[in-house]
Amino acid sequence: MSFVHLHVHSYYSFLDGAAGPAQLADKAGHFGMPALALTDHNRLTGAVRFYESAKKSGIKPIIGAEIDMDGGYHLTLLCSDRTGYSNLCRLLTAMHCDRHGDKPAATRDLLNRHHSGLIALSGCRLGEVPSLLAGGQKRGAVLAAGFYREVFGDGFFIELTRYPAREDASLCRLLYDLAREHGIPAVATNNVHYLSMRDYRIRELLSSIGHIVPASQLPGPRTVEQYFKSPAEMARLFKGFPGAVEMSLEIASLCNLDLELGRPRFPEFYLPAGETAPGVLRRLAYEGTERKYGSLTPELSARLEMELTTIERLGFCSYFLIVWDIVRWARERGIRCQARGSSSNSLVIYALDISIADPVHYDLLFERFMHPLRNEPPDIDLDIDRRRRGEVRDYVISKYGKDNVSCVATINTYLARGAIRDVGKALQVPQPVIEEACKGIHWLSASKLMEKADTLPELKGSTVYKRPELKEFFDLCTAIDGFPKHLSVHLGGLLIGEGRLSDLVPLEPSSGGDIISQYDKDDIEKLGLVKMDLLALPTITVIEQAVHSIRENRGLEIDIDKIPRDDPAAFAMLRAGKTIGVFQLESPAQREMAGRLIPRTFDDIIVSLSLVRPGPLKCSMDKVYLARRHGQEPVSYPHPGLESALGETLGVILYQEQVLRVAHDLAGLSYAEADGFRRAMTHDRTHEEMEKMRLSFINSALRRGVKRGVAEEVFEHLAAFAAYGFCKAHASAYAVLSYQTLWLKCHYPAEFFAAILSNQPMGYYPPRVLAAEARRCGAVVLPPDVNKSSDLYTVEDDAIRVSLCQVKGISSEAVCSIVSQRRRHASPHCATSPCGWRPVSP
Amino acid sequence: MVSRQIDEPITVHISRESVPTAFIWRRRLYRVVEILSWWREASEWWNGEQVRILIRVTAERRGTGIYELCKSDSIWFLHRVLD
Repeated sequence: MSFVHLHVHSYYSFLDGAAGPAQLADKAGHFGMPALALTDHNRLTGAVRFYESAKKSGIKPIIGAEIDMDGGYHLTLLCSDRTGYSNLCRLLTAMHCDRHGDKPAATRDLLNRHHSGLIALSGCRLGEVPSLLAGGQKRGAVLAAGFYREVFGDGFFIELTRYPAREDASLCRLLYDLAREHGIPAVATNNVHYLSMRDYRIRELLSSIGHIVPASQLPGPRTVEQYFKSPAEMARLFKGFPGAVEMSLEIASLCNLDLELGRPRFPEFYLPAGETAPGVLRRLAYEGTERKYGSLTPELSARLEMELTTIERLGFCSYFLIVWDIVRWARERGIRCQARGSSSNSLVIYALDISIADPVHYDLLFERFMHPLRNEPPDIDLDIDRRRRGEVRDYVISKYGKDNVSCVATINTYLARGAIRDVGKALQVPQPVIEEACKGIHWLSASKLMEKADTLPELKGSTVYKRPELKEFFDLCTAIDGFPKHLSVHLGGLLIGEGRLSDLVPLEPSSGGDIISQYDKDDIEKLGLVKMDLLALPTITVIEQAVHSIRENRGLEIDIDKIPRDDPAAFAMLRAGKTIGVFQLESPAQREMAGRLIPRTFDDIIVSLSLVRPGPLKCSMDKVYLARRHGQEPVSYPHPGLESALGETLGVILYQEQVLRVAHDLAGLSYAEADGFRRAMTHDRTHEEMEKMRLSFINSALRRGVKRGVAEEVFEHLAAFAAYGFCKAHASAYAVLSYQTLWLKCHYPAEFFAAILSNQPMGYYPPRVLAAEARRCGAVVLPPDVNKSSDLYTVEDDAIRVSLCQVKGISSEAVCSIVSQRRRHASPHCATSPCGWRPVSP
Repeated sequence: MVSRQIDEPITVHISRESVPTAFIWRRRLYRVVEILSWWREASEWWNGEQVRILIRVTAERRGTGIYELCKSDSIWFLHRVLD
């Protein structure tokens, strides 16, 4: 006997499910089930992961949701095809977005509009039909069943769940009889919420967290039966209900949704008639390259051709044009923005003025950014002036349409700290114990807690983790480790659909009111949609404000992008470690590195940014590099053929791009293959996968005449490095910002620190440290003055005037009022005047 | 049918198929005639309790009666008597 679970909740039902989609798919595979459905509450957040896991387990994934109807009733919906999936997305979007703050729920009218391609089951005991029947309202139940039948036709089924109990409710029998009387097929489900019976505790624990009540006070009814039952158990349970188990297989056979993961779904970039995206991109890239380099050398042309061919072949021309258009629009309005991350490896991106890092000068590799073997869209992330990111976002929304653009969700999951707090409250663990257990834990997962309790210095002193009476408590914290809690807005992610987004992605409002996708960025990528990261970077705001302030204060027009990159005074300041406030170079570790590295060139800043990272420091790469740099150790290479790849870093692997070069030069991999190799090494992998990669690399190297020992040594280096390497393109782009802030601090400390103090919180140090540093640099810090201070820190000659916002207890409304009144009256404020303002007296 | 809550420990004889065949309550032997139904109940897991298994049986001693046997943490109790 076989069976398919058609009503299943994963932990993406947010605090109402205790199993991950992959675990559920595994279990179905273990029981030899041909298919499995996922029906989380009012959402599809786990659908893509489930879809992939199910396919991997060799079972058919059925995507669905258990939705709330008006009146608080539940209804189980399953997608039979692509139309059904789109309708479910639209239905969920309307349920969430059209409720104006109320709990999501579907009206009958919504069901009427979005039912095509969907199969409906009457739901658990909270379904409309079962609820009415259980309440003795048989006529109402029949009418409700009639309504659903009218909407879904043959796609409506009576759902039977059966949990043996003392008063073994006859509801299941009543439902079965109603189904038979009215010719509606009935199907057995188990409304699964967890994998094994014992996990009912986890579900109740989550429920208690969700309802903010102690576990001991959870309202009933309670059951231990909602576990993933085997086909044999289900057959035994529904022995008295002929056909109910078999019907699950029949319904599963009706569900044949193909999510078409990986199929690109890019928005079209609007072009004038007769123009094509590849044509326009090619023209812009060539024009930009000529503008940047003066002329087109054969090398530049060859590189452009290579990049353009790849971009066109992979179908990303419109995507590049969309980003180009956003950057162009922003720059035309004086909004500073630039690319971050691996996209700076591209000459096309540089030619389009999206990036400020010259990929030819810095010898950056396009394949680190994109190549034909990479099975996902490239990421072009933009850093934008924090004050004006909203304007850019609004432009994207207005250009592509409100229905076609949304923010991307981030799934907030449990780490140790959150788990301890929430589980502690649910189990009424005394507050001091919770506080002690949380002390010193920041980004640690609960599953690592016990392991790290003995080794982490900040946890070593605590005995709380070893108390036997708390073992069960910590076990429960570990049990919910990594469980999703809720969705929030991804910091910068913006999603642009090829059409109406809600046809493909269910949307919902975030707590702040932004419309977000129910999928996170990884699933969005898998669905083939374009995500753009428009990130607010306060450093860009600081640069912009400082330059503006220099113009206002001194009448000097500075083109910060054209300042000389070899300013001796700036480098002297860097070498002296006087970098408090300087972007990415201000941490104690960076300041100490400056003293050891003795930086003299812009390239040294790139090295410094890449060297002072946990990985290189942990592996003492910094010591090797510095010894070689200062001639205390000879520069050597594992193989002479690696001199070209590692020469710039004196034989030390520092950048991700170098992994590609090493794999290319030593093992003869193409750069695209080499990037695949690098990416594979950075992900979690089994011992077998690692061994396979190792053998493949070594055999390739041996075929090229490299000695086995050398090939093995290089592979070990690469394997160790892959986890911590830094993208040189990213470091190069950020080095520009580091240098610009260094230069501003060196030459215009008052303007620089006024800007940085106006943008708190940011950076490494609190305002008092920044103010002290400003004084050390020669700027006087003046106290707030009702007649001179503004809402921001301002500059008066070489002095910084503290902002009015720093006055204790003052509201932002009061600050606005004072500043605007002062502008209006052009007169000083008088504390004794009834209106507060009086004419300026000579 | 009226039920009385008892919750007293009992000794239960189990068959090879793990089915109760008899139980001793207050030093008296009751022979299980029929298993009427069985189910599982959630427990106070936050106090370390395991899932309870309840078995409703017809048992005889002099006359027949309906009894609810409960197994929790490997310990058997007579949970209720139904008159």
